[in-house]
Amino acid sequence: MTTVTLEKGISHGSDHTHVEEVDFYRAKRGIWSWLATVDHKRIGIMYLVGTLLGFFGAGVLALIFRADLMTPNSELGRDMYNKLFTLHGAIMVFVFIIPAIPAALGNFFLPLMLGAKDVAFPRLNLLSFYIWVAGLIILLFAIIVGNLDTGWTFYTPYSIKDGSNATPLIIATGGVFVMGFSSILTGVNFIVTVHKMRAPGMTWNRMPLFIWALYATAIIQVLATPVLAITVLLLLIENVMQIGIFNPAWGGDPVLFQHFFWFYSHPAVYIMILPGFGIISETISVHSKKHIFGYKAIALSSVAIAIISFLVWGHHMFVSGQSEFAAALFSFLTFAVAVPTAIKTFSWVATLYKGVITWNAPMLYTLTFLFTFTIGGLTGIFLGALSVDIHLHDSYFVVAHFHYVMMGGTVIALLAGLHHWFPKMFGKMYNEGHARIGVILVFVGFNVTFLTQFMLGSQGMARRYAEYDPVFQTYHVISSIGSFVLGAGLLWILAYMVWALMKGPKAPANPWGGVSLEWATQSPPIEHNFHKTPHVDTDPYNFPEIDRSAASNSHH
Amino acid sequence: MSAAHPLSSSTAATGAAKAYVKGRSVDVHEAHHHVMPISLYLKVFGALLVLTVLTVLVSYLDLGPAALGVAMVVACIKAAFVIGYFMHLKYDTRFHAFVFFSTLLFVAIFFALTFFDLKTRDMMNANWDSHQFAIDKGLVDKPALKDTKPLTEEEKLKHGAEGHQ
Amino acid sequence: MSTAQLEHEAGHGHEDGPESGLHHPAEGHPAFLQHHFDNAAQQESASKLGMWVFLATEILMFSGLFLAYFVIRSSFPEMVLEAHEKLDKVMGSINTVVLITSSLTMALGVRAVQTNQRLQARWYLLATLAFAATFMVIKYIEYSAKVEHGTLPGIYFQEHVYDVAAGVQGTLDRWWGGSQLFFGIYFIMTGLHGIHVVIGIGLIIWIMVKNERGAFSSAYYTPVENVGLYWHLVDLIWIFLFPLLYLVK
Repeated sequence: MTTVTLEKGISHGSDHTHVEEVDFYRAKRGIWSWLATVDHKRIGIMYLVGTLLGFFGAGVLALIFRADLMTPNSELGRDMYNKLFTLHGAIMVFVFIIPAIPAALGNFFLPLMLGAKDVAFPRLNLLSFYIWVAGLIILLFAIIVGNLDTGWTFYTPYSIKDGSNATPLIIATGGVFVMGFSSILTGVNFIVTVHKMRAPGMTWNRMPLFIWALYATAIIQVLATPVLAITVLLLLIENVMQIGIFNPAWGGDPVLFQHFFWFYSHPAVYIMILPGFGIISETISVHSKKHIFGYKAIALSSVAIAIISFLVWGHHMFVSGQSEFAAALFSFLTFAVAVPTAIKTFSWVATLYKGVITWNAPMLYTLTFLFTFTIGGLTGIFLGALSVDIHLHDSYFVVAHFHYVMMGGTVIALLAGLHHWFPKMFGKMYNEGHARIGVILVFVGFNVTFLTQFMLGSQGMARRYAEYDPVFQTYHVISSIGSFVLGAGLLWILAYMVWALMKGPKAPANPWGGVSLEWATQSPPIEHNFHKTPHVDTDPYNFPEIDRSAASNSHH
Repeated sequence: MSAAHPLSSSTAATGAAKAYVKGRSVDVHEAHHHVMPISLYLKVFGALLVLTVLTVLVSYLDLGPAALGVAMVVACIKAAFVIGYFMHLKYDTRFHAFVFFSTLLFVAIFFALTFFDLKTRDMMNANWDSHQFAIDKGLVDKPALKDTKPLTEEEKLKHGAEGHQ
Repeated sequence: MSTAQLEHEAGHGHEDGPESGLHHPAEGHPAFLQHHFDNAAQQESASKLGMWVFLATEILMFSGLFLAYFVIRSSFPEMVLEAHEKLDKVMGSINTVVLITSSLTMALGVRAVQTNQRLQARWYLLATLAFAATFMVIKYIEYSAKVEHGTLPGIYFQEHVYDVAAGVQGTLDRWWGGSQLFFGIYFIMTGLHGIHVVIGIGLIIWIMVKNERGAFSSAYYTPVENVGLYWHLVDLIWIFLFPLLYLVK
């Protein structure tokens, strides 16, 4: 039974005057009130705009080289091609996908779902945002200076240059270094908020699963990102001083760089996906009006993923010259990290069973996620098998795998979350018809683009190649056409969402009948979230409206 | 009207604060902290000085490969004093200790798996010496001094002893 | 950041359940209590947990440097053995004692605020500052000597060698697996550590200023404690740096 009631828009001042509360957009006005805000919701919106700008920018880069790849010879030329995919990767990873869900949706909803007024350290939150912006400006500067062609992975010794060639690298590694601190400080903030600022009655087992996901993500951010920081710092210093730690020309070890780099970057991919998992747990239960299956399993599996993710980084280095014993160990451990994820997937599907499924955009994206993420996850297991990876490493199979998990996973989950929480964040409703068109375009476009890349990869097409054997052309053409459809779909989504912001109907406080705390306040929320501190005595998945006269499954 | 602060601690604290429980973060008594007597700080300081002297003296002995181990053990003991007493971890909520030690666990994972790779590279490839190419190229030995000048007697005396710098 | 009066009232949970009685009185709350926290104890415990989590990130960041050190040491043991003799053990030892003492004075400074002795705190913090500055001065002297001798990292390595036995002096350039690697990691480790000392100096000055303005008392001294924790971490890192770089054979 839910005890969270919707609130009217009145609060009591200490002198018992009745004061109408305006939403947080209207509470304060003017650009300075945004730039100097400590309101987590405004910070979340600013991150949302910023990360989406990065997403679209890097996406356009991809469309450019996908167009080029329609022919075996490269019109752009190898140098330009190398720069484009480097920038696409670097911007997508550091500017978009790492911060997107945690810093945008996470910032907005973490305090709301906990029943808190804000995060633990609101000024630190604003600082995190400005650090992110600073890092972004530095990265943009690196792009303008040009000549960044190492791939987003910056492998040495190719990424150690001397003289003026080192300049774009110095700037880019500096930008990544700065951006890393945004991630670290957000992680610190979220961990403390979850520990210390839950509403009365909200035990750990009554937190929404999105919070568990953000918490696990924050653990990874805090533990892994500092190692990225020191890695890029060392690379920066290598470029300035040629010390030789990673440069075999002076006695250094390039594989050591890869150890340093992947110690962060593997857990980083879980930073990318875990919040997405959290969103799916929310949408799949709300839009099937069914209590989530296996709450504890999903919650604890998030933490398990966070921990195990630190044990598997060497699976990116199977052909690097790493010892075969280490490779075998990492391969074995990689199979382990799939288990908690599988637990989640089973739990989500079980949640749907006997639910009342609404076929709206959030649910359609959620179902898409189950399909595309599973493909991505399973192909990750293929790649984790050492013997198979020897053949597939650095092929399009890898490219397809990570796009299935990052785009088919995180981006689809982000889209699900954006639609699910659109009414709450903006107080407007998007048009469901428009949204369904978007789902179709994205689903078709995405799968056409990347399913063909599995074929390409297993047949030998190498990644990061501007030119290729004409035998691969048909697949490349199909893939590129898919990418244009995907791009069109994403632009369509942007268009109708902006249209809905301007002209959409006003949204109610709880259009979907959710039980977690963010639905217990108005849309958009007031500045300090709740009129009265909420009291919680139930978990957030007890949907009361469904007639369960048939014997139902037990739920936690 | 200014109210007296309800949590003003005129009373001494009652030991370590409770770990965080159910729903609400606050146990009001958590605000009271254990105040260590100054003498304890000084004793810890003394121990740290002694251990520093020890570690310096031991470094003059020739312990071979054990030297690293001994130095690290002494450093860990010093660290334990700083962490436990100066940083109050001994008297703090246990969760802080959990955060600290689990961090060390991940550092250990980083070191262990990286070194596992480095140290087992040669095992499958018996003839593979990662430095061989450098040896073959003649890169390994220290090059000869360049721009040499003869030393004056004065300079010989000055630099004759095993100089530090 | 000023907050609307509404925010103060709402969300303090006065009207709410049994817990509200435990908290502060309905009107007025301490100046140091930030508006998004419900009470001082929550603020303090959040603040301290945040600091410990932040320290965890610092440890992981430095751990990369320690790993790089161990890898260099493992690859080129003789070079490290020889190169580290060029470091001045005496200066390094003095600096170790200086930092440990600064940790003591810092801890005593925190204790002073904790026991409402603002004036005493001032002197302890000032002492800590003095020791920190001493550390940087000694560091500067050491670095200057390195510059003079040319034992610099990477491409800048041009050691001025006095070969008494052969009766010549000359310049030694960098070589594969050579001392420029050791001095590289030396400068990066001590340099990053030094930057942290400077940041610490800034933080200590900040809390000294706040202390002079009467911001701290036994009821509220978390910032002092947190700066203390940071400072002790700086000391801790040096406790490991010193033997590894200066002492170990």
